Amino acid sequence: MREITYAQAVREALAEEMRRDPRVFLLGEDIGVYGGAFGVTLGLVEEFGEDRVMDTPLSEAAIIGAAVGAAVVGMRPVAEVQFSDFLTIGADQLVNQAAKMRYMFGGKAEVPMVVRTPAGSGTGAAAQHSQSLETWFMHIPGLKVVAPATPHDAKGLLKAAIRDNNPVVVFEHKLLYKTKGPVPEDEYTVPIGKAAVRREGRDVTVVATSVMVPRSLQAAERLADEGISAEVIDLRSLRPLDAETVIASVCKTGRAVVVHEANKFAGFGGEIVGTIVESEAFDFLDAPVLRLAGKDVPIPYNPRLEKAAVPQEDDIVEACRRLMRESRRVRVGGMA
Amino acid sequence: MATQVTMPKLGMTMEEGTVTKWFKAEGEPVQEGEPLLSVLTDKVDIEVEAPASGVLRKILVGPDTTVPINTPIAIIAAADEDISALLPAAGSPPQGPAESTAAGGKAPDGSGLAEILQAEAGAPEERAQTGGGGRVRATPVARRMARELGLDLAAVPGSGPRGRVTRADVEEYAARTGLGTAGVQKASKTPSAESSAEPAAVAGGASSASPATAPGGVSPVPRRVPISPMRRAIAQRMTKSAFTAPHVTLTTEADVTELVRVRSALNEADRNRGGDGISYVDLFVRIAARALADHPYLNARLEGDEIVLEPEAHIGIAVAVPGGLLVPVIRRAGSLGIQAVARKRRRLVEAARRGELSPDEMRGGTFTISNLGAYGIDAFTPIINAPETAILGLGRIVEKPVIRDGQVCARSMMVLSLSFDHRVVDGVPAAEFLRQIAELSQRPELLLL
Repeated sequence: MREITYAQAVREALAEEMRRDPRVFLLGEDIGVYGGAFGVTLGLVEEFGEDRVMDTPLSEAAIIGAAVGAAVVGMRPVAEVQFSDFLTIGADQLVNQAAKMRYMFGGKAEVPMVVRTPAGSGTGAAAQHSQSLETWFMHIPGLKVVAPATPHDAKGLLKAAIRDNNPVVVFEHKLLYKTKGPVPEDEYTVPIGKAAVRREGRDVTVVATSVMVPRSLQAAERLADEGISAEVIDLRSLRPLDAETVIASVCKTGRAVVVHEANKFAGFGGEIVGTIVESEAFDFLDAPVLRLAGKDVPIPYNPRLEKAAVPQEDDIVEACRRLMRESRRVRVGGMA
Repeated sequence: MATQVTMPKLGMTMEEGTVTKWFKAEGEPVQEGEPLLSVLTDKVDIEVEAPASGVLRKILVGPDTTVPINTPIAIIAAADEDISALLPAAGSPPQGPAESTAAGGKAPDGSGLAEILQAEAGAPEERAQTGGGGRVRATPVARRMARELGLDLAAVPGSGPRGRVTRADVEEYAARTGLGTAGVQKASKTPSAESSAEPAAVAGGASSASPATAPGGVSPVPRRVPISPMRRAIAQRMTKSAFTAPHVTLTTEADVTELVRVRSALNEADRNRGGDGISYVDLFVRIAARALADHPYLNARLEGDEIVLEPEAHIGIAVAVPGGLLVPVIRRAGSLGIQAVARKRRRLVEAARRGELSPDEMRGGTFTISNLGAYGIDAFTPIINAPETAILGLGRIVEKPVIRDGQVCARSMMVLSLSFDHRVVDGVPAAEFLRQIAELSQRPELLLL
């Protein structure tokens, strides 16, 4: 299968959906001729024109608000928010308008819109351009939140989001834009609300999203050399959450680590841990469920500190080792 | 400054303790107040905290070894400190402190040890920090498996942090003790399919079993099962009582028709008042307390050349728990109303079944009641719970044809069995005591007097 980058996969999804459905259009800051801050929309204005690839003023409230209005009257807008940090400015439109309308109009209104936005640290962009704010929007009933980790899912989830009749926030990761992976040329979508088991294992479940998925897979590879078999789950969708896949995995392994880049306090790791311990998986737990998350600080500008502020491969390896130390596996072949 | 860790005195009557597990290995750093080892006393495992910070330089008493209180069991010191003065004399067995104390008088470098021993013997209680009621640390899966196997988690050595019992610990323990390996296989099953290698390996885990052991558990050779600390404690106490106190068992049959009626009425009344009900055992606690007040020699113990007559009746109740037997004590039973007895009894029995009794809740009894009636037993010869003087066995209640005023009629009958220590009392006073118990169970209204 051909391999393309995550950014190319997003672009393909946008182009394919715009060709398929004339109601789909894009709006955002510098997404036209400039191609967006990360080059994701490069070339689209040439194909679809300025009416469907709209450069906007620097106002996230206006971008998201315009998208909500367009969606309510039957369009299918895809808004780009240049850095997910700026979602805070458009949050009123997203939280108080987009998320509420279907409910408040008794199901008579639909808000089929998508907000795409690059998130995360690792680019030296400092505290105001490096945050991971997905938990803010996961908390709002009426919003869907996805965070693809691979080019395949970046394309498939975005297409599913565009076709969804509810507002969907898509968190893309800046560090993933240049990563390559297999993407089918045939038409496909990735269902929202379904996690993927990226690697099967027996001993410990690592629950991750976004950039933490490749890190977890590398950690799992190293752990395998030590005889620790880690199962890596890529949640893909944060809301709705595929609790079933997580619970089944923890029932099998009896140990779990939740890894995310957002800082730990009130991060979604707590939600996943709560989901695990409330479920039947409780009776299978053989060690505490760990949260491995960013430090509770604004992301530092200093590159070393920036790296130290979020979980790295070594941290994932160490967390899994700790769980194995605390509760040995049942030894095959009897006891010493 | 080096600190000697000694076997703590964890209760008023504790004379010796068994080290069940060290949470630290020699050479590991320890913090004051951190759990250092677990000690078994009176069938309860208690975590003992480190009395000082430093490095655990030397463990003097290994696991499963029993030593008298105040025996040095470990040394905590700085990593490079000279601790040779604190080590037992060369040649004396490290885990035989009774002998080493005896040898210590002669050993030239035993003097420092003896001095420290004596200095510390003064305040052993201060040093005896327990882990708090002996609640076992265990992971959820370990708890579930223990529940399914009917296994006492307190008996399972924990390998996790602070002695936390993990799934592997339970499976190893179950395999070692031969406790329902089939159950382990069942418990290992998870909703998603699991590799078939694991359960089979567990079934073959008992090291003494022949390699040809069938997975179904049909074993061609006898299985050797190491006894649990609780079983060992029971074995020691029963042997001591049976071979120290000359036992005589008296039985008598009581007409408890009226007691059945009274119990039923009280039970209903208690439930109406939000209680959990009154049992026959509760009634017999009241009856025994009354009879013991009139027969002080049955509420006594032999101590050297003296018989100690206890001023109050503290009545123990034998409770069957997975893997053994515990006897929690209802204190000052004579001063409690029937509802108070019922509440206490319920709380203690539940704590016993959960393995959460504290040593003090099992201590200081003056008399014991053992009830096998629920298991269809008519009469039996209970063994006295030393150092008590007597124990009452309750049989089942059966409706029988009996003759009253020349007429055959159906009455509820029950056999009462009393074992007593013939060193303390003789047949006639014991018979009078049992007759009063029978009388009170036939005419429970006398309890109101």
